[in-house]
Amino acid sequence: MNFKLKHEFRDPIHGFIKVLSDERRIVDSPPLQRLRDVNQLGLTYLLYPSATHKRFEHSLGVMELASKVFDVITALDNYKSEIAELIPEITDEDKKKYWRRIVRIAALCHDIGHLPFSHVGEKDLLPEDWNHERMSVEIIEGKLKEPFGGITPPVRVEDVIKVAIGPRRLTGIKPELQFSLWETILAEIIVGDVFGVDRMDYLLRDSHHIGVAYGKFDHFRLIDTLRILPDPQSHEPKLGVEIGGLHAAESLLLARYFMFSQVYLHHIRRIYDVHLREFLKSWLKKRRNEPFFPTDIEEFLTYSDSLIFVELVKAFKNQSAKEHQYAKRIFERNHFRLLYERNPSDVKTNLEAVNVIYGALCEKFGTENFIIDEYRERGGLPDFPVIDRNGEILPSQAISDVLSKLPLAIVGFIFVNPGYETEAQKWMDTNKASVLQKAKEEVKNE
Amino acid sequence: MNELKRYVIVISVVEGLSGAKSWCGETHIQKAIYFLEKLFPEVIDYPFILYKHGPFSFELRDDIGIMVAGQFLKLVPMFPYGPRILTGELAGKTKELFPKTLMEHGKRINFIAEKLAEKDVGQLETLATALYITLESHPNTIIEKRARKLCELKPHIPLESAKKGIEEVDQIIKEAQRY
Repeated sequence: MNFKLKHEFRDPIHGFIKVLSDERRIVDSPPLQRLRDVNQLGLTYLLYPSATHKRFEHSLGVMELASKVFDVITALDNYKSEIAELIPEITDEDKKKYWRRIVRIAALCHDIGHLPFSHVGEKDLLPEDWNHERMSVEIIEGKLKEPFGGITPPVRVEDVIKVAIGPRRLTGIKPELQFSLWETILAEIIVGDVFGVDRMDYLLRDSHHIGVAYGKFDHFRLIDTLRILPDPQSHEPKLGVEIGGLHAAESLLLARYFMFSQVYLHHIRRIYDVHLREFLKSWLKKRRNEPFFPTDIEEFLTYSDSLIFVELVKAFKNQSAKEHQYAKRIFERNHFRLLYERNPSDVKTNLEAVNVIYGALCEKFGTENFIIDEYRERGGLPDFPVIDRNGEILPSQAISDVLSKLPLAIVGFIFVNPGYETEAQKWMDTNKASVLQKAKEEVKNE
Repeated sequence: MNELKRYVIVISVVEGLSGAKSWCGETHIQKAIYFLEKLFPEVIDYPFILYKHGPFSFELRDDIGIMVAGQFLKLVPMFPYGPRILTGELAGKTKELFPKTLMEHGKRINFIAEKLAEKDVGQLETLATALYITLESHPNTIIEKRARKLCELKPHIPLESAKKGIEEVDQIIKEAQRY
């Protein structure tokens, strides 16, 4: 029998990640263990060979960082009395102990519903109204009650779900659940667009494994300076930062931009995702009579990267299989090639440049020879309160030149079947300008 | 709704707010579009939830960020507030694509813009939350009860401000029927 009360995992980002025995029962549960077999970055390792890390260690990392943020923002010296009046939980030691536990468990479980290869198929390979967050809710409610049962004091499953998923996604899944101010802030710790530790961990972890420096930032400084502050204009409590941590916050947001523009939205990574998605659609249709992953939890949990990879290999070896063409593109690195990329100059001529060029190419050479792929980074304008050395609270956008100029990554790609690359490129060189101009004159949206 | 058509409504709201002397920060746009969506559902459709400064749409926030990145909108720093949001280089071109939409909804957009233009963020939060509560409540719920509910949801808002907000929202709903 193991009498250890604490256990630790060696982690390349955070050193040691410690878990209590009752938390370890959750870590050891089959739904969490399944994440050892879900690549954090899908097929990105075909582009960056060492990007083979998994959702499992990311989940542990998010738990580690979430605990640190919780401890900093609830430390007695780190909040003002007006915050304590609006959020009484922050001064009640028993409640704090309970909510710290909830934050840790929610962080651990926040990705539990991820599909194989993470984000590759989420939008197209689940039935309408389903996403990985909804799968997470189903799994937490259906499969983690038993490991949760051993925790003292007992945890409310509903609290874990709220903090793990956050208001944005949970409203569509469980509209009956309302968030208090406190719960909103705790969910921000994990899934927040600015200071969410989900993002902090994946930026640090992905850049470490990929071998790039631009995803790194001073997370020690940032976390140490996080505070719950009243919004300077409305007085609503929000997660903000001390002025000393503003540069670290800026570098986090710059890291996000660089990682999106240079890694997550890299055109070769995107095209491998498309080929894998095509494979999965076809394979799922054959296996399940519908092109979707199952939403029944028992069945869903049997799907992980290894299962899919074996099927990819089978399809690659079987030339008569319908999915052979997609597997071949992946294994022989014979992916569609980048032909055109959205650029500001073309968009100025025609607001729908990518679609217009794609339409003209398909008309000329056939739809089957082109793939269009567009993505816009979400997240809006980063806005959080900053407290300066005199105790004055200001909006981040007012005092940071960096934040007010921070771009969002927008991409639009057209890929071409390698067999048509030269011909299509030649056609583009001659016709692109006239196609954009002609379509501009013809356009009448109403 | 087509993405560019959504953008053209947001652009018109920004123009309406700026024209009515608003400093037009993101909260102004968020709350103006919330009022539009609730009082004139045919104009625009964004999902709103009770979150930051009252009703808030993450999807609209994403669109505003993308519109800034794509030069449909632009940011102008406004110390000590957040940035002012104005129309960008591609706004005019986008408007040219949707003359009917602009003609059809222009008056409604300007009505809402004028009502909210000169409010500060705190007032916008109170008003938008007041509208949320009013629409969620039984039609004859008295002002006092709705104001107390508002303070329950937003404890940092004083009861007197909540009452004023509810009264003002009742008046805006009444006037909106003219459009």
